[in-house]
Amino acid sequence: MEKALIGLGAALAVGIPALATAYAQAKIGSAGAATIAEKPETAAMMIILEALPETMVILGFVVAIMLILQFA
Amino acid sequence: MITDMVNLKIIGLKSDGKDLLEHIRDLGVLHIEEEKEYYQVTEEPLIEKMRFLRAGVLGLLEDLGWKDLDNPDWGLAESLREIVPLNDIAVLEEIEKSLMEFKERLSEMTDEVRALEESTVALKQVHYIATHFHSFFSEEKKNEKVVSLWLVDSSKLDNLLKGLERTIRSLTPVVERPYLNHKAISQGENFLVLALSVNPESSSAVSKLMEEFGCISYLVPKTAMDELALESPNASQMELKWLPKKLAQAKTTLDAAKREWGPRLAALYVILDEELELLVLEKKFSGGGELFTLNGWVPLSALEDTVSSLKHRFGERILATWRAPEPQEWPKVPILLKNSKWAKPFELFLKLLPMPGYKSIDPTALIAIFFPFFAGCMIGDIGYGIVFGLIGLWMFKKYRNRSAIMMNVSQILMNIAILSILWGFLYGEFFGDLGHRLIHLKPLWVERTEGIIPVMAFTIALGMAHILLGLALGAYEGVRHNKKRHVYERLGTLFTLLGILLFIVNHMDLVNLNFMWAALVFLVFGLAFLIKGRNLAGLIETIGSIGNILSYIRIAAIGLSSAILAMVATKFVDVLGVSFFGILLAFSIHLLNLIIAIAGSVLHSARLHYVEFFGKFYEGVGNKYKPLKRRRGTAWKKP
Amino acid sequence: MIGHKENYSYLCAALKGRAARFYKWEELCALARGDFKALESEFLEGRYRESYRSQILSALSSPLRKIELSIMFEVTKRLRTAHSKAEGEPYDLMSVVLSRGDLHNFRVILRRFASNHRIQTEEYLWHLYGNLPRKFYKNIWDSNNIPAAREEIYLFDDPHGMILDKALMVLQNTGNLIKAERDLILSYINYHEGIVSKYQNKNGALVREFLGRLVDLWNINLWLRERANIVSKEEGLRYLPGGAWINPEVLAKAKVITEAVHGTPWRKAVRKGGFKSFQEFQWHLQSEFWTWQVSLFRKDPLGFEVPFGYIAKVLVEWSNLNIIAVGIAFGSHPKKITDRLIPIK
Repeated sequence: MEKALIGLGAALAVGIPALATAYAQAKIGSAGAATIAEKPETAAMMIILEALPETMVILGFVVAIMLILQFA
Repeated sequence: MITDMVNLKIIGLKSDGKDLLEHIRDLGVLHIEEEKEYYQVTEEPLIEKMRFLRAGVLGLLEDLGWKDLDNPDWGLAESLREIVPLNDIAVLEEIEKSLMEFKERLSEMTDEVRALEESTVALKQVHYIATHFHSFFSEEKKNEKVVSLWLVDSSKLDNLLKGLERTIRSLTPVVERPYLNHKAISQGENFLVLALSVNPESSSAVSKLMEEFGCISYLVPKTAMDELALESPNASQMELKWLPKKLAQAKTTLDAAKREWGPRLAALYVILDEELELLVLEKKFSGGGELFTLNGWVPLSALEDTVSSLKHRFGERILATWRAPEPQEWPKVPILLKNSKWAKPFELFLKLLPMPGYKSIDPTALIAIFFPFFAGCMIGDIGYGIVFGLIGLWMFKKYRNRSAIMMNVSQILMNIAILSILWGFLYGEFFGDLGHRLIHLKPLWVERTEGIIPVMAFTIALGMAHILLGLALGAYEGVRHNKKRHVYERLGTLFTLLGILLFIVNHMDLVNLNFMWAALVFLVFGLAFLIKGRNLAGLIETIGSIGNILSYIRIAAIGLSSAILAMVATKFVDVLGVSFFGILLAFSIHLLNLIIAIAGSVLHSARLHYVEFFGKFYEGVGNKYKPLKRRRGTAWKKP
Repeated sequence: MIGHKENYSYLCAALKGRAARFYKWEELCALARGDFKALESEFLEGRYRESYRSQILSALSSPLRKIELSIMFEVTKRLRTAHSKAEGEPYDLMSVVLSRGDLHNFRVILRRFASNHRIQTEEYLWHLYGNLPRKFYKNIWDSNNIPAAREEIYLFDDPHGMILDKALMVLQNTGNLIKAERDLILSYINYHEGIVSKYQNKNGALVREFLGRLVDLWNINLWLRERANIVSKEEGLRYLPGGAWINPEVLAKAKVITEAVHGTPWRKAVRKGGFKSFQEFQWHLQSEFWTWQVSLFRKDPLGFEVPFGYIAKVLVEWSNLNIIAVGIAFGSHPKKITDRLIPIK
C-alpha cells in the first residue's frame, strides 16, 4: 500500500507539471509559429520562450526520482 | 572561425566604371554595403524605366502563376545578355510594349476560361430547369395558356397560391371555369422557381399580384438558350456536351502559354535585375569629377587574387588600396563563416539565428563537439547507432552534390550515430538488453536503468562544464568588444558557480582536500563582480544559470525513458515467445523508440545549445557576406 | 480547453508580427509632400509592391488608377489572409466585422439606384473583404433597374445579399434613400447580432459595441440632417434602436448635440469638431470611430482587440493612401492633404 502511494506520488510529480507544461507550450508554440512566420529573425527568441516551461517537468522528474529512491 | 575581411577601395577612370563593375561581378568576391534608401527617385530615365520594367516582369510572372522562379531559362538568359542592349531606353520601351500586349492576351485567355466555366454552370442550371418544365410548357402552350416563370420565396408559396386563386376567380366570368396551373422547383435554399399557367385574359392581373408579393419575374438564365431550352431540352444537352471540350481546350492553351513564357520571362527578369544592379552601382560610385570610386569588403584570403586580376585587366588605370577594418567598423563588416571539414555541417545550426558579429566567436566547432555528444548520451545504444549510421550513409549517397542542406543533415546524423555507439558500449546496450541476452554484453560504465543517480550526476556535471564554458566565452567576448558590464556579469556568475561547486564537493567529501577557503574566496569575488556588473540583478542571472545547469538532467531523463522503452520491446518476446506476433510487436516498439530517440535527442540537444549555452555569450549582430555576382544557378532568389 | 474553439494566441501573434507593414504617420506625411513620381516609386518598392507590380504592365489603366487598384488588391489580400488565419470564435467575429465591407458596398449601390445614373465609366473599387464576391456587385451594378438588381440577388441566394434586397425593396416602394438606408442598417445589425449573440464574453461584447457604434453614428447623422433641414421630421423616420452609447429618446429631445453625447466617447468628436460645417462634423465623428478601433490593436494581446484593431488599421491605411494618391494627382497642397487624413499617431 505504501509503495503504491509512493508510486502515485512520483507519477503525480511528473504528470501534473507535464500537463501544465503542455498547456503553456501549446499556447506559446502557436504564437511562436505565427511570429516566426512573420519575422524569421525572432526564431532564437521564440525557441527560448518555447523552452521556458519545460523546466517544470525536469524539476518534476527530479522530485519523482528522489521520491522513489528515498522511500521505495 | 569568422573569416578576416579587408576593406578594398578601387579608384579608376569614370570611363572604365562599367567595365570595372562587370569585371568585379565576374570575380564574385566583393561585398558592397547596401544602403537602405527610402523611395529615392533617380533622375536617370534609363534606371527608372528599368526599375518599372523589372517589377512589371515580376508581376507578369506572378500573374502567370509561374512558381518555379528559381529555374529560369539560363540558356536564354545567356543569349539575351549577348544580343539585347538593355542600356538603350528605346529597346526597353519596345520590350515593355510587347509585354503589355502579351499581358492583354493573357488576360483575354484567363477571361475566356472563366467565362466558359461560368456558362457551364449557367447552362447546367438552364438544362435543369428546362428538363423540369419542358412537358408543362408544351402541354400548357398547346392549350393556348400563358406561361410565366417566377422566383418566389419558398415560405410565401402557400399564401401566394391562395391569393392567386382568389384573384383569378374574381376575374373569371361566372360561366367559365377559373384556370390556374402551376409547377415549382427549388432554387437554392430559400427560393423556388414557379411556373404559372393562366388564361391570356388574367395574365396581366396575375403579374401585378406577383410583383406585389415581392416575387421577381424569372428572366435569367440570360443565355441564348432561354426560350429554346424550354422548347427542347435536347439543345441545352448538346451544348453541355460541347462546353467541357471547349473549356479543356482553353485551359490547355493557357497552360501552354504559361510553360512557354514562364522560363523566358524569368530569364528576362534575371538579366534586367542584374543590369539594373550594375547601373545603380555605377551611378552611385561615379560622383562628380572624372574618377570612379568603388568601396567594399573582400575576404583576406581572396585579396591577392582579386588585386592581381584587376591589375592584369586594367593595368595602371586603376588604383587599389586596402586596409583591415577599424573596431568601430566591425558592426558593418560582412560575416563569412569558415570551418574545417569536420565542423562545417554544423554551421546549419547558426542558420536559424542572425550571424555572429565580426571578430566574435563562431561557436560552430563547439557545437560540432557537444551536439553529437549530448545526443549520443541520450540515445546510448549500439544497435540504434548502427541504424542511424546506415540511414546517414544512405542520405549522404542520395543527396551528394544535390542538396547542400541534406548533405549537412546526413553528416550530422552520422556524427550522432558514432557517439551513440560509443555511449552504447558505456551503457552496455544493444537494442535495449538484447545484447546482454544474446552475447552477455556488459556495460563499461553503468547500466542506465539501474544506476540512475550516477547518470544524473554526470549530466549535471556536464551541464556545469558547458555553462561555465559559455560564461568564460561570454567574458572573453566582453573583453574583446570592450563591454565591461558583460565581463563583470559573466565573471561574477562564473566565480559564484565555482564557489558553490567547491562547497558541494567539500560537503560531500568527494576529494580528500579541504576546499572551504577556496570556495569562500570564489564566492566573495563572484558576488563583488556581480554587484559591480548589474547590482543585485546580477544575482538573478546566477540563479538562472543554476536553473540552466539543472536543465541538463534532461539528458539523463530522456536517455532513461529510451532505454526502458527498448527493454519493454524485448520483453514482448519474453511474454509472447519467439512467435511472429511477439517479434512483430518488439520490432514495432523498437521502430517507435528509434523515431522518438532521434527526434527527442536532436531537439533537446539543440535546445540545450540555443537556450542554455548560447544565452551566455552569443550575440547575433552580424550581416551575411553577399558578394556582387552574376546571377547563375542558385545565385539569385525571388525578391 | 473550455468554451468556444479559438486560436487567439496564433492569430494575434501573426497579426502583431505584421504591424511593421503599416505606414507610420511621418511616412504618410512624407508621401503627401512628395510628387506623383515619388509616390509611384514608393509603390514600386514599398509595402504595396506585390499588388502594384501586377498593375504595371496593364495598358488600360491610368497611373492613378494603377495605384488605386493596387491599394484595393493589397488591402483585400491582407484582410482575407488575416481572416483565413482565424479559427472558431475569432473567425466568426471577424466575419461580422469584415462584413462592414458589404455594408459599404450596399450603401454605394443604394445611392446608385436612388439617383439612377452611373457617372463612373470605370468599375467602382468595391470593398471585397466581406462575404460577397466581386461578381455579385458587378452584376448588380450593371443591372438597369431595381427589379433586375433584385433578381441578381435572388439568383445569388446568399443571406447577406438578402439584407440588400430588403433595402432595395424599400427604395423601390418609397423612393426615399434615407428610409432605405435605415432599413439596410437595421437588417444588417439584426443579422449580425444573431451571429455575435453566440459569444457572451468580452470579445463578443466588443463586436456588439462596434455594431452599436454604427447605430450611434447613423442616429447622430439623422439628427444632424433633421437640424440642417435635409430631412424633415414629417418623413416619420425614427431613430434606430440598439445604439452603443446614445439613447434615441434623449437624442430625439436634444436641442444641441452636446446634450445627447454627454458622457459618451462621441463627445471628443464634438469637442474637436465644433460646428463649422455639417461635413466637417461628420468627418470628426468618423475619425473618432476609427481612432477608437485602431487604438484597440495594442490592447489585450490574446483577445479579439488585436484582429479588430488590425482590420481598422488596414482600412484606415486604405483611406489615407487613397486621399494622398488622389490629392497628389490633382495637385492639392500637402497641408490640405494631411488635414484630410485620419490621424494614426
